Amino acid sequence: METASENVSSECVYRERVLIWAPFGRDGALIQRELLRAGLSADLCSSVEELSLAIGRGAGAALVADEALGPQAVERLSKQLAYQPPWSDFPLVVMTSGGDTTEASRYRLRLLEPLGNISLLERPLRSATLISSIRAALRARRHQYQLCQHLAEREANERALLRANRDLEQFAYSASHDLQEPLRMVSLYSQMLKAKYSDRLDADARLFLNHLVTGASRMAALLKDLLAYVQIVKGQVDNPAATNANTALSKALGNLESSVRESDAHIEVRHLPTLCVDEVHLVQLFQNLVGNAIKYRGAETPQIAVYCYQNGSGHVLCVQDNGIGIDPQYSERVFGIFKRLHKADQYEGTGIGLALCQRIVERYGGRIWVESAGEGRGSTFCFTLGQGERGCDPNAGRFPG
Amino acid sequence: MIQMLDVFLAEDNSGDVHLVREALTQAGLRYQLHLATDGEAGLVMVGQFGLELPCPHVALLDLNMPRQDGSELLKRLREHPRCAHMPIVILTSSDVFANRRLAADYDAVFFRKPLDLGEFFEIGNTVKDLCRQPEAN
Repeated sequence: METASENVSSECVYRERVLIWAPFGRDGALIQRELLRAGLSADLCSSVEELSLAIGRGAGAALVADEALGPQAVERLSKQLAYQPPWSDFPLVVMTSGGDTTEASRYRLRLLEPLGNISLLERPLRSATLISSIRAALRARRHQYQLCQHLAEREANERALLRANRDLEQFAYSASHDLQEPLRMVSLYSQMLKAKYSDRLDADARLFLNHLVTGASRMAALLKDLLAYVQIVKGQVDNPAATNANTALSKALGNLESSVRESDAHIEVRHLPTLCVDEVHLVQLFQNLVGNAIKYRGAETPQIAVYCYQNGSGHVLCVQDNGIGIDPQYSERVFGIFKRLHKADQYEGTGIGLALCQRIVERYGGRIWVESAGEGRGSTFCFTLGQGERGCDPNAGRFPG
Repeated sequence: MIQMLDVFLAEDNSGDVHLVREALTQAGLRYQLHLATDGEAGLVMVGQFGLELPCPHVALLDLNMPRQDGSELLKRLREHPRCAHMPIVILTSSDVFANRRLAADYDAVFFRKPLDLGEFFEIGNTVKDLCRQPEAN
């Protein structure tokens, strides 16, 4: 891991030297002297091979005599330049023969096109023109290396973040998983005490024991929900099938059967669409939202509506109730993990349900929110599923097997 | 007269050992418990089955144990030259697919250790049912 990021940044070490390839006459040596005199670093290359390899090792720019660039040299160089990383656009300054017609220069430029970042410099060279063109090329090249650094840093940060997230998830998973074991002992043995010794305990001791049993079962519920929350990311949804929201809702209502019955809730379902999501996720969403609508009911019988409408970007699914409502100032807070607006003995819960819902919709690039006119005036929870709107074979889920 | 059952239990958690005893008793079983508190001790006992020790009527194996995993015990029991056909129950608190798969592959009953005492005691009835079937070995 560490070496990989070091490699990336070493790739970004800028060697600000100018490579000169002017094999005929004394041009090369003269140009080198001019550049050195201007305080630039300049190396002479004696062949296209040497030039290519030097570019590969890192350089700021190359200055090449036009007459050296025959078809084979152009091919060799363009091959070399094709290996550049995405951030790199190596500047090549080509010295043309003086007195070329505009037409001839244009034609030449077209032949050199495969070399990429070409600029022409007409001979006879004037020192100031030479130095300023080379400086401009080096300056541009320096920016490319800065970009390289930025990209490398960003990649390293992303990798670190990814690793941290993975570690955190692994930690949460192991923690909630391993915590269950000792909790099981606490839970089972407090039940055992209660079952076997209840009649030998006084009222106080029985009360303590009850707290112990309740506490353990509450802890168990927390761990179970926490595990479900962590597994939203652990589980894969690479290729979700088309899922009929009506079916998912039916399953959710099936899981909520006893609380629907006990609360005598009336649930009205209007036609829901087929979406490209993992059915398990949609069931979890409905189960939490409808479950909350029942749990946070007011004095009246729960009247719950599950419906869907279209906005600009796709379907919006909503669960509306006539329950206790939410003070709008808490409409963000309710989605935070372990954030609750009520005490446990008022309304049971772990504070994970809505956080789980949010995690699910965000996995699909969607969002979830609540609308409520205030306390005692009901709530409407709505969500979108972003990419659940597209990119799914509509037949994938309908005809299993 | 109720038959005396030889029960092989591989379990490192003494809390669970006690609960298993309680469950077997509550199910009205008379039993002799052959207990291994880690995987390695379990392997030694498995080697003695049918020789110094009787072939157990039933084996209850915890999967997550120190030294040797319960899955190794499971394999060794199923390959056992003398006691390969005994009913085996996998006792585990981690309900992951791999564990259910393992149980299915080795023809063992999967029993998830529950949080509810009544559910835990079901292990006694499970053992009772398994041992009521005619012995295969």
